[in-house]
This record gives sequence, structure tokens and C-alpha cells, in this order.
Amino acid sequence: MGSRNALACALIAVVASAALAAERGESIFSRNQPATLCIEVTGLLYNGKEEIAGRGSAFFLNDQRSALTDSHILPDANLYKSIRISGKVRSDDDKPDLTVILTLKSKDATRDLALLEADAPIPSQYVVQGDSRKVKPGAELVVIGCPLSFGPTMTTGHVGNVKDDPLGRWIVDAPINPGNSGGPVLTADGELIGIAWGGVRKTAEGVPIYGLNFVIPIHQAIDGLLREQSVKIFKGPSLLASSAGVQLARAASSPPLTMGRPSSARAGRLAIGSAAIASVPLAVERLGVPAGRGGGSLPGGIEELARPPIASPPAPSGLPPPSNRIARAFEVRELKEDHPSMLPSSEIRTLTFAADPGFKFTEFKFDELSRNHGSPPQIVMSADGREIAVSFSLTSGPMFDRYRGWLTGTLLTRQVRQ
Amino acid sequence: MNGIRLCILATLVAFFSFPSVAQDAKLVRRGAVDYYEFPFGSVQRSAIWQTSEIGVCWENPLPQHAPLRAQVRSAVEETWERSSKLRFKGWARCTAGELGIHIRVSDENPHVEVLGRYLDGRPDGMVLNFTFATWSPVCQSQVEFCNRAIAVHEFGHAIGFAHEQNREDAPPECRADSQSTTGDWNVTEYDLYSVMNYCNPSWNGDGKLSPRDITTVQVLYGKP
Repeated sequence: MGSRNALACALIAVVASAALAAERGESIFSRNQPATLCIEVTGLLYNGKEEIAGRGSAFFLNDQRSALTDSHILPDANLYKSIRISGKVRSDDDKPDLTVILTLKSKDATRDLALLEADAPIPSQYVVQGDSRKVKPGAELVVIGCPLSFGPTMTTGHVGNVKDDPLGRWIVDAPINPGNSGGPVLTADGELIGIAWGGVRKTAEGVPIYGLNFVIPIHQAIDGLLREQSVKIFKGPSLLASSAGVQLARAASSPPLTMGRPSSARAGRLAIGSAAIASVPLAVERLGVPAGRGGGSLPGGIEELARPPIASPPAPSGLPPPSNRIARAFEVRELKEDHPSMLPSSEIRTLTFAADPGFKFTEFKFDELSRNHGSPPQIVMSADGREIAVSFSLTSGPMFDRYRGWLTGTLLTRQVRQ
Repeated sequence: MNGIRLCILATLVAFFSFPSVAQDAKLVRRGAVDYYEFPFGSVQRSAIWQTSEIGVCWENPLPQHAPLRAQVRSAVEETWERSSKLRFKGWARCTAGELGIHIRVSDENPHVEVLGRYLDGRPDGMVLNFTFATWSPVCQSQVEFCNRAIAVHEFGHAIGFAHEQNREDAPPECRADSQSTTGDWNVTEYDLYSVMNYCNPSWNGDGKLSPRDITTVQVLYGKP
């Protein structure tokens, strides 16, 4: 009787384990499919004919424009009068694919990498960076890409060797087929660690070879091409700011939760680079942190800069008189990454932003950069125009599938003096 | 005579060039095992023409160059055409939008812009030198020899041949002369005597196809 119970328990454990693994795979795929592009390059020959000049995969980085791939999927542009690089994104199996036109921004021929740029901002998901330097043989991995002319497809396998390839690539056993090149390679937790490259099919004597494929570790791109082009990969919501050219500094104390915008001397500040939100029509003078979530350690390991001085710096002589109209941009960067139970957990968060002293809001617009397992934000301005509340829910995964929920974006506002 | 040809070879090796095309499979040597690595973009780029009839036209034919143009045509007929099903047609002045290989004559290093079928309709796709005033003046004393040998070599590129000395299995001293692209299909064993090999003891093989050149062109385009 006891042995029967033990056998039943073992069977249940095996079935449950398989179910969890399947669910985890589904989750990784559903999260990263919208970040994966199926690339098709069309070349116009000098004889007037068009042909497919290259196919492969790519994935979005977090600036809404850049995508990384292998350079070998792109043809020698000199062969053609012109080439057109298009990428298809499938966000949902029930919706039509989104087609994006891209251009080649930069190439690293040595590492066989290419950085593409979309002709317009893409409101898409993007991959989250993992630590490829810590990957060891035996690690599980997930490959997403577009083999042959199929849409995004997932395969899995293990890292076999990280040392012996002279080019620093990993040998993996996950199936990688023609068209997979340039696709994201992820950990079992769904974090980006590499780029699918290709593999060995046969010896020079024609002996077939199996399960010997190559992946370019993502740190080769981060240390080379992406650094040269000042493009970063999203490490988590907290790194979004720095990736867009924004550096964050926080005040010692948390701003109050509700009304009354803290003075610039006490409030956290964002020093924003010119490229960060250059596309928005507002002149960004200073960026505040949301009143409701300030202070404390920042998720995702963002580096805290020196605290701002308690007193406002003296105004330089000749400062122009204050304007009656100002524009303010507030960064929203919220992450939920706790996994308290065997069920997904959700919570509603509300961030309240206050107008400058003596000012009231007249306009606002939320520019969403990324959202994962979160509801669209509800934005409400108070009747007196003194504050704006941004509410949304975030969901993080259960213990066995530790996905995270986040919302990042910028609340753009205009204010007038009261 | 051989001394002169070697001298010409040394001079010309430095100047022959053409842009590369991507290579799909790479032969890798690791220890005692050779294997092919395939980067997995799914399209194989081939420079092989899909037809055996290829048009040829001249961009800037001058009356005084008529004998030299005839030498080029003759050299191609006696080599690539005689050994395969390839037939080069036209040979008149290029017209607007004309397909085929467009040849411009200029006193510069002879070259093709790209390999094979990518030349189809491409303006100035091939450049030949008839005067040798500034480039390789040594050819002025043997214009016909140079003209024929160069034509055979450049038409080799025009039908998709890459430089033989670029191959992975070429001797290191020859690979040192590697230029532009490496072919993605080694049809025969390495051929020291190919008209496409800078390492050939005779410059451009004296404009005469080697047995392996003939085998290759017949594999690509069929026997005559």
C-alpha cells in the first residue's frame, strides 16, 4: 500500500513537473515573441528584378528603434541597386503581423553582428538582458527565431561548451536552422544571453554532424557594437533610464505620497540626455520622480548617483525671469518582481505627480515605453489641476515561473502659473 | 619571356580587385578534422547565371579600339565559350537599360564590380584597360597578350569565379595574395594553374584555361 502511494506521488510529481516546464516555456515564448523579428531582405538587381537576398531573425532592444541580428543575414549591398530590410513582428497569434522597415545602422563584421534601426518607433516588447558571462556548460537555453520562412518558433537545448571556439561563440545543442540566425537566445528564465548564429552540418569529407550549433554570447555585442553605437539592452525597468541616456539621482528621503510636489532641492532628479526624449515636443527642463514611489533601493541594480544638495544651487546672475508656462516630464518606472506564492500576484499602483509650486497642469500625455504583465495606465488630473494620478496594475509570476511585471514610460505635462 | 611574365604578375597582383560577395559556408580546420560551418541565414547567394546566354556590351567603344575589342571577344570565345555551353551575345555599344555585362574601357586596373549574375545590367560592371598608359605600362610592349589574358580572367569573374588563391586549402604563400571574396563552392581541388590564381607561375595562365578551370565551367554551365 505504501509503495503504491509512493509510486502515485512520484507520478504526480513527474506530471506536475512537466506541466510546470511547459507553462514556463509558454510564458517565455509569449513574452519574447513580440520582441522577435522575422527578417526578410529584398534586393533589387541592376537588371530590374527583385529577389530575396537574405532571411533571418532579429530582436528589439529597448529604445523602440534598434534591433540586433547577425550581419551574415544581410547581403552585400554592393550586389544590388537597392535593398529593403523588412521585419515581421507577431505580437499575438490572433492579430496580423506588424511589418517594420529597417535600415542597417552599424555592422561588426568580426563578430558577425549588425544593428538595425526601424524607420519609426516601434511600440513593441523587447528582450531583457541576462548575464552571459556567467553561463556555463549544461545551462538550459531557449532559442527563438524564424527557421526557413516560418514565423517565430522556439527550440530548447543546453550550452555544451563556452571555451573552445576561437571566436568566443558557445557550442549548443538546441536546434538552430536556416533562418534562425540573429534570433534571441534566452536562459530558462527568459533572459537574453546570446544570438543564434549557425552550426556545423558536416565535415569536409561529408560526415554528418549533429547538435553542434553556435551562439554568439550577448556580451560580445554589448562590449562591441552596442557600446560603439551607445545602445544598451534592457536589464530590467530600472535600467531603462540609463539606457536612454538618463541618469538617476535620488534624494535621501522619500517624497511624500500624495499632494504637494517636493521642492527641487529635496526631490529626486533625473538628469536627462538630449537623446532621451528628444522626439517629444516638450522642452524638458527637469524630470521628477513620481511622488508615490521615491526613495529606497532601486530595483534591478541601478547605480545610485551622489545625492543632490539639500539647498538649491545659487542661480547664476543674468537668469531670465521665470516663465508663466513650463513643461515637465515625469518618469514612470515601476517593477513588480516578488513571487510570494504558487499563483501569480497582482497589485494596483498609483503614482501621484504634483504641479510646480504656483502652477497647475493644463495638458498631459503618457508616452509608454514598455509594459509587461501590466494594465494600461489610467491617468486622472485633479479638478484644480494641482496633481495627476497614474494608476495601473502589475502582475508577477508564481514561484515556479518568475516573470516580472513592469510599466515604464514618461508622463509629459504642461503647466501654467496660477 | 617567363621573366617578363613574372614581372607583369608581380605588378598586376597588387591591382586586381573586385568587391566581395558573402560567403555562406566556411571550411574550418580544427586539429585533424575539417568541417563546414554554416551561418544560418536561409538564402544561399550564388553568383552563377541562370542562363547560358549572356549579353555583353561596351559602354564607351572608340573606333581605334575595335581590334582590341575583337581580341577580347576572341579570347572569351576561345576559352569559356569553347569549353562550355556559355554564349556571350551582343558586343555592341550599350543602350539604355540594356541587360548583360557592361564593359567600360579605362586606363586603370581591370576589374569587375561584383561577381557573376550580379553584373547583369550593371553600368560599368567590368572595366578593361586598352592603353596601359598609367596602369601596368609593361603591357604596352605586348598589348595583345595582356589584353587577352586579362579578358579571360575578368570574364572568369563575370561568370562567377572567385580568386583561386583565396581558398582555404591554398598554400599559405598563395593565400597571402588573397583578394576580395572567397568562393562558397570549391568545385575542384585547389588549382595552381587556374586563370583565376595569382599564384599561377604563368600570369593569368597565359589566358589559357587549366583542366580544372574547364571542369568547373562545365559543372556550372554544362559541356559544349
